[in-house]
Amino acid sequence: MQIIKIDNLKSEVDGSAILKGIDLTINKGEIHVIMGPNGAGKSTLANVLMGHPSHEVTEGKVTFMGKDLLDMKVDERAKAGLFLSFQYPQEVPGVTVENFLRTAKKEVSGIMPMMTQFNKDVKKQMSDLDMDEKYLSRYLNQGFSGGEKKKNEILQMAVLNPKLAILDETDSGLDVDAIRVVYETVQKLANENNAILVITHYNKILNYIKPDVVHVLVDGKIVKSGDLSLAEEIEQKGYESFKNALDDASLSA
Amino acid sequence: MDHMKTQTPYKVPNWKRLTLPESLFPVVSASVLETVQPKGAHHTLMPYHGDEVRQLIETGFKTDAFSKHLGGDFLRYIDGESKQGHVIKTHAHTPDVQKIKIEYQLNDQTPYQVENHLIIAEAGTKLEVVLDYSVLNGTEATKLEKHHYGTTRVIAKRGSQVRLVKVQRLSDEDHYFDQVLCQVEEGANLELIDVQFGSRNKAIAYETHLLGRHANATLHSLYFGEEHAQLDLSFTMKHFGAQSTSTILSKGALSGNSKKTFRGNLIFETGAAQSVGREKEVVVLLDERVKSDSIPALLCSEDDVIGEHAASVGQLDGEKVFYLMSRGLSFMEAKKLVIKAAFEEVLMTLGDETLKASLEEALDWRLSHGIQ
Amino acid sequence: MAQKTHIEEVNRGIYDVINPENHRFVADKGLTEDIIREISREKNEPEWMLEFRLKSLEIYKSKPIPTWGADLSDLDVENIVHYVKPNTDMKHSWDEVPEEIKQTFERLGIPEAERKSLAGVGAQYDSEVVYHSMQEDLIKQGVIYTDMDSAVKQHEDIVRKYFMTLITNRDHKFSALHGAVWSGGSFVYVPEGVQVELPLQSYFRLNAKGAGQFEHTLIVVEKGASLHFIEGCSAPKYSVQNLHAGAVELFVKEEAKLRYSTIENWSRNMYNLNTKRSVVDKNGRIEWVSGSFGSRVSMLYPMSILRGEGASSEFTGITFAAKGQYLDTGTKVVHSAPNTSSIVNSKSISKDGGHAFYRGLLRVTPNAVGVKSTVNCESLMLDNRSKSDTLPIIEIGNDQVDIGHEAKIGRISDETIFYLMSRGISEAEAKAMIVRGFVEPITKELPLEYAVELNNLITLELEGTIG
Repeated sequence: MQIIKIDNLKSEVDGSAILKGIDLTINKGEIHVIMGPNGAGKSTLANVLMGHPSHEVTEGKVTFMGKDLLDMKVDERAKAGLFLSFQYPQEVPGVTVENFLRTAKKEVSGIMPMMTQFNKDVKKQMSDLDMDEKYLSRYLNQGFSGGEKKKNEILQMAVLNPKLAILDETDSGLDVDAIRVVYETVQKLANENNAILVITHYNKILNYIKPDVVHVLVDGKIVKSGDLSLAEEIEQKGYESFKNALDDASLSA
Repeated sequence: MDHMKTQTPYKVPNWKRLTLPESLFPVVSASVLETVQPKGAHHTLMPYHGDEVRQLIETGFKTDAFSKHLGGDFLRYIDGESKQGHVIKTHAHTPDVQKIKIEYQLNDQTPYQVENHLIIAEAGTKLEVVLDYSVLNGTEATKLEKHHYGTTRVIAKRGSQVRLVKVQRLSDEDHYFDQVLCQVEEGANLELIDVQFGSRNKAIAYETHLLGRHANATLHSLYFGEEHAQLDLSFTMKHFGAQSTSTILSKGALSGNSKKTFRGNLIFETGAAQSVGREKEVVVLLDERVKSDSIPALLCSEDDVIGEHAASVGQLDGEKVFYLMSRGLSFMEAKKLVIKAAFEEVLMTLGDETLKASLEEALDWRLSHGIQ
Repeated sequence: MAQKTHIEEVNRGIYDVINPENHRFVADKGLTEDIIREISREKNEPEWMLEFRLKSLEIYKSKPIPTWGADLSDLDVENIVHYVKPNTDMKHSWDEVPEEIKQTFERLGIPEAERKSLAGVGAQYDSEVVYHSMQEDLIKQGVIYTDMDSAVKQHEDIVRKYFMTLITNRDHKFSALHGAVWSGGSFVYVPEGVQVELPLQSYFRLNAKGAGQFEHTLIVVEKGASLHFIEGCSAPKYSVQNLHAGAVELFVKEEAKLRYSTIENWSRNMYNLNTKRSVVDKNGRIEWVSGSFGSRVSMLYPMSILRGEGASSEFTGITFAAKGQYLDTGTKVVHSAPNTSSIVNSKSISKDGGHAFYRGLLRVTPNAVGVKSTVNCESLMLDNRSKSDTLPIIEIGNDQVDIGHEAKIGRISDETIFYLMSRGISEAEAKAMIVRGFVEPITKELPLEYAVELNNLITLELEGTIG
């Protein structure tokens, strides 16, 4: 069953084209990884799917859980089951992590969770992620280190239980232990009813999660898709070879 | 002594934070000695008088839009009594930097200076103007109180880069009143540096209007108040254009019985969306008798901006002081060194070695003179 | 003249020139000596209070209305008499109360019994039951807690020692008016060494004539004692007579501590010119927690005078200026003794054309060495029809100080809204969350039910449904 289908998605920022025709389908139970050089448009894809106001979609269609995603407001997309773990999570002073988690859960699931059970669940998730309980009463992301912010994102993912979780460079800013803990959690949260899209340019995450499909994104387009072996190819040959493939393709088009 | 008795009919205003001398607004008979050093072949330098100049101002400069200067009384006096000044204008479409330096020397024969300047940088051009005011005193018997009054209007046209440096080094009994009004157009960049080292009563007002999109202005102010000095410094940045940026940075030290009022006005008009303005004041106090007043105002009618101001009085970078003291300096010596470093940051950017050296000397003298 | 001295600094061209022709005189025909005598007689006051009122009336009539700050030209000065004279018949009916006010009561969950009182409809709010049980504990400790009218008679010596010595009838026109027609308010006296555990909440304001608009609060905390006093509520107080000129005098003695929390929310036709002042002795501490909402015009500058060595003051406040409002608020701290310290955390929000103006004064006298002070002002603008101004004045009179001041103005960032929306929170709720987060440093200083009320009030303000 299809979770998301992206057809020829094109987008612009301030008049410059970034996504130049993305085609991608992700089904239930799958884990996809997108890799690519800096500036290729990986984060842009994540932000466009979530509905960031700075990005303008110029062409294409996205069907999410059978509905037209691009037609929905940002919060509607979240309620439909889309989740984005941000590369640079925002600080929100005065709003505690606990308060925020409960509000988000209520919005996304449609019911206000029971306080005691909810707290228990959250604390368990935090312990799995090696996060100190004290973070619950701290203001959202304020004064958190890069790594703590990322863990906080995954904590939200665990609480909100999305249909499709997009992880945008979640590994950047994390030390080796944190990466392990975070991706182990992600692998645990993945099941046959949801899907995960990991955006990274860090090859080693493949030690922790097993993707079903690996895509290479170069200059706003997915130039190649394959299985795990594609990731090894990237490690050995770098992105240059794929860039050339793009040039060849456009020459012969 | 005759000079002192010849008063003009201009009314002396009643100011709250600075006592204006009764001898304010004297009659001026002659211009003060000036040495002009121009560099660069693409500019015009002509005297400020005549209808042509009046025309230039009326068409290109909105004097009435300015309100945070020394006040109507000063404006009228300077316009009425002005005996000297220049119109400095770059030639259009010339890329190389034009530099003009003018040194003024007030003395007992010409103790009063009233001047008007108009500085225009044509679109895309680069201009640097340095105005240096000092005195030459006679013997104690003939020594007279010197006065300086000046209005400078600056127009930085589209994409131009202008730098205006004003240095005041009159002696401790003199008076200095100066106002600088600037209009910065689209994409233009204005840099203002003001150094106040002498005189007993000084009031300065800088008001800059960032009219166009992406207009930018920076103001660095340095001052050292000693003994009976009274300083009133007013710096205004008014944002009209979208994405305009401004910075006000004022650093100073007060010793003896000196008194200072700092007025920083950061104003955002509706429409100045995505503009950023920052205002910072740092004052180091060196004597228990000093008085320091600060009024850092932020007036905002546009929500899509970033406006910040910070004022710190008496505080010193604890780490720096600790480090210096661990090397044997007393707390007072450490304080002085920190002040020197703060001033150096700005003096370094002057680009004029002789000027920099003499200012450093003046600072050293003040730091060692009369401070326990 | 403490109120006037620091304000005229906005435009040197106009205000630095001292010009006596700028003031406006208003003849108040109704407010006569006879009316004042009637007021005093009806309250059964001692002679000295009557004399004080009469002297104040004289001063009131001789002073002009100030022309700095807010525009007070719509202030209904002439009709004050009708609302303060005894047995006044100028009470309006519940039907006359504006619909938005009634709806706000509903939304904020104000009990029926309280609504009519808050709306100035003249019904008495029966707070006797709650009041009595609290009274027993206080009496045991020797704490005096009563309404101001009773205190003048029952505790004459204490009251006479302090009453209007901090805010005098010579300070400004409205403190003189207050001195003449004041009525109601709270009186608290905490004896030496007594720690009052639970916060005291004021009830008396609702019962006073003139709808509590000239109430006087007098609190004395003796050496080593401590108290938390809460005044006001988040429900809007409505009255046809549109001036509120109350006074709050707080005396904090050596080693004592007082926390004074207040939420002021007057209906949108009101002019709120409350004067609040505190004086702190050696090692004493005053904490102000303040929320300013409502009213058409507010001019509020709680002032702390740190006159004892080691005294300290902390101010945490929020001002919310919405459509049609001009809220000119701030704080004043005067350090007149060595080793005193102060902290100011002031936040403001403006929306829909509202104008929030922060005016602050920090003064350190020449003998006050070793002073440390931090002032932090943050302003949030919710659209570009509003205005937010900050005008702090810092006057330092000696060189052994450590003073830091910071101010920031900005809006809610789009990135933050996007982040919250990506978690399923609607745009409106995301903005409300961010605003509540902005205000959180104040709400967390208040007891729970006030914090909840405050959050509800903010939600209503953001929705724009407040009358």
